[in-house]
Amino acid sequence: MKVVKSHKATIWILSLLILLIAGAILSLNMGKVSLNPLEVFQVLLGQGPEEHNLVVYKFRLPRIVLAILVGFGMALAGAVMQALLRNDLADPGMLGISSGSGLMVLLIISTVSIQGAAITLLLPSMAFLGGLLAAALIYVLAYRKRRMISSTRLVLTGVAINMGFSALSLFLTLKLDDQKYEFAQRWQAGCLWGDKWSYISLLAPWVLLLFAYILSNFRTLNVLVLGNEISIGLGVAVKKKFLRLAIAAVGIASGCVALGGSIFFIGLISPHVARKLVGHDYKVLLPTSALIGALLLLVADTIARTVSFKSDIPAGIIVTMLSVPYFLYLLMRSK
Amino acid sequence: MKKNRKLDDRTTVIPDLRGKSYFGLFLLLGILLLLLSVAASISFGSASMSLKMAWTAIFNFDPELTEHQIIHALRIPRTAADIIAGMCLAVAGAVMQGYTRNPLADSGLMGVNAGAALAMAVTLVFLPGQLQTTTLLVSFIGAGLGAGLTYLAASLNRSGMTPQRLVLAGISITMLFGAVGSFISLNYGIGRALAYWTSGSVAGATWVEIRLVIPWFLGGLALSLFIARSITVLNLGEEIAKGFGQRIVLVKMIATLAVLLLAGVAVALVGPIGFVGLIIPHIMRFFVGVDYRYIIPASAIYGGALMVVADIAGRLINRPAETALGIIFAMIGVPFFLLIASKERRAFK
Repeated sequence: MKVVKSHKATIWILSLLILLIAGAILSLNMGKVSLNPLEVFQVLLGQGPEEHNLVVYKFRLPRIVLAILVGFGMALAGAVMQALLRNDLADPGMLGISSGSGLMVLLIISTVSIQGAAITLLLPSMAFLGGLLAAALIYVLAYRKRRMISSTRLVLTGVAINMGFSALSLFLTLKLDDQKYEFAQRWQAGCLWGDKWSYISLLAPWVLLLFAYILSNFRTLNVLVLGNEISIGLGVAVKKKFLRLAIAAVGIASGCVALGGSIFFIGLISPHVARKLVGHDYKVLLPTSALIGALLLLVADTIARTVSFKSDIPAGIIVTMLSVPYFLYLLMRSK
Repeated sequence: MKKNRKLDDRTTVIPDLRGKSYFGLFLLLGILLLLLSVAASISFGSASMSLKMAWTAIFNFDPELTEHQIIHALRIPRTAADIIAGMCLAVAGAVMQGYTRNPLADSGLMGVNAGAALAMAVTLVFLPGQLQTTTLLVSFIGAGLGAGLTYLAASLNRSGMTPQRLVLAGISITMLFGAVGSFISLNYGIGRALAYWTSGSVAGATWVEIRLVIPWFLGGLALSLFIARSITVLNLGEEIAKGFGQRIVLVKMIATLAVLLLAGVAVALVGPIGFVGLIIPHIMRFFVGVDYRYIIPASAIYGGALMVVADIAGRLINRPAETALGIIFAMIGVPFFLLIASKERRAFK
């Protein structure tokens, strides 16, 4: 029985991987300058004309890689948070981590100019700091002496933090000039703005390293889902592990938010879909939900890139519009 | 032990918890506070006026004087808008908390504001330069849509509606409407106009608007007072309410209508402001007990006063710029939300 199950999971992971690669190739062909598959293939082999090289390597490929990375990371962070909080409805966006990052980014753009070299490193690192700050604040506010943290309490605290940060963001937003305002609005709506190889080379190792760390702790996550008392009974050093995994999840989420803006719901929806496909074992659940997240954001961003609206619509908006109905459906079915 | 005491509070004492005279005194204090804040609101501002000047401007209006003009055309409508919006939000919050038996119910959390904001975005883009009547109507419809969807999503469940589910449904509806709203505003370049409106301000209130909303405001208030007793009974639980022979569905429908009217008026006047409806009813319950015949009028008076005070604070904090009301209330409201959420933890189990 067990063998069959893990067999099934492997197949799912493999097919998701293939789907993702196929999606990426398809997405590479789509865009405002149309390239046919042959031309893209030529570029990849290094034989394309200069113009096509530019489109593929400078514009499309980095954006696609970024979408995949951000979706991957957000979904992973969501899966870990849902395990740690033992709450299926946890999500880095809902818990205020995204708005913490957002606030920091706003703080930077309202004080410094958005052009310039320094901003390249400053923005993502401050966004990261903001995410950590939000997480720490939630932890401190929800903490009670000599008692285990209740997950409902964490979620409600997160909701409150989220509202507070949003209000502060609004305060800063109203003071921006038009150009900065538009940047801020896009950022908040989840626009994959960091699509340059320099950013990606920062984010990719970060996400992959933390992914490896989290995946190596799949047993702990499997046990933590059962509840604190049982985990302690089974010999897991709950507090230490909880903290480390939480920091890892927040680390991934803030990194992704830094380059991809506040993308809600990917972290919430992907683990749910993954659970339906492969079950509850975190060993397979983690990679599956990460792949689903990557696929989801890739699709959303491809839609954002190719469908021509009057202006560029951030992928986050499309993700939200696609996934809220599904979330409400989950809410109706939850116990 | 504590649990038992709480239960007793709810079941044994329906009518006079702390006595009519105490309530009268409390209400009187509120009216006094309201009058004081109104006086302050009319005389504070970029041009300070003496109270005497304000007085003569109201009762002895002289169109030749600039000061009288300012008071008449700007300060009074603004203060009136404050009072009406504050009363609306507080009463709507009280009614909502009462009939949904949810301590965290508030128009900001239940999709009402998001719906109205989306409707406003649609109006700004597709029906620009419309009459205020149309704007009002559209924000009513939006508020109704947001609340209806939230309520539906939270209650369509085998195990019924829990406070936590309502909060989550409200947030997702808010996010969905927010996403659609930013889609529209990015696509048509109305971001800043919408942001100003969303942040909540009464600076632009006019007599026309006030006259327009007054009938709806009075209607919503009257409906709320009319069902106050039924809400008190309903708040004890549906079984008990049925035992009292109450027509639950009818009461809930009237309550929903009242909430939509009140929240719609408030949103149309000052924009989508959260937390007033959350804070005031809680403080009122603390002072006047669990009877909604007391809570609702008290919420109206103190809600109006709080809004006027917050507006004065918004004018003073960051002079000469004005701080948006939405921001001021979030700063007060978030800690308050945390406090209630931690106190009512039992309700979320």
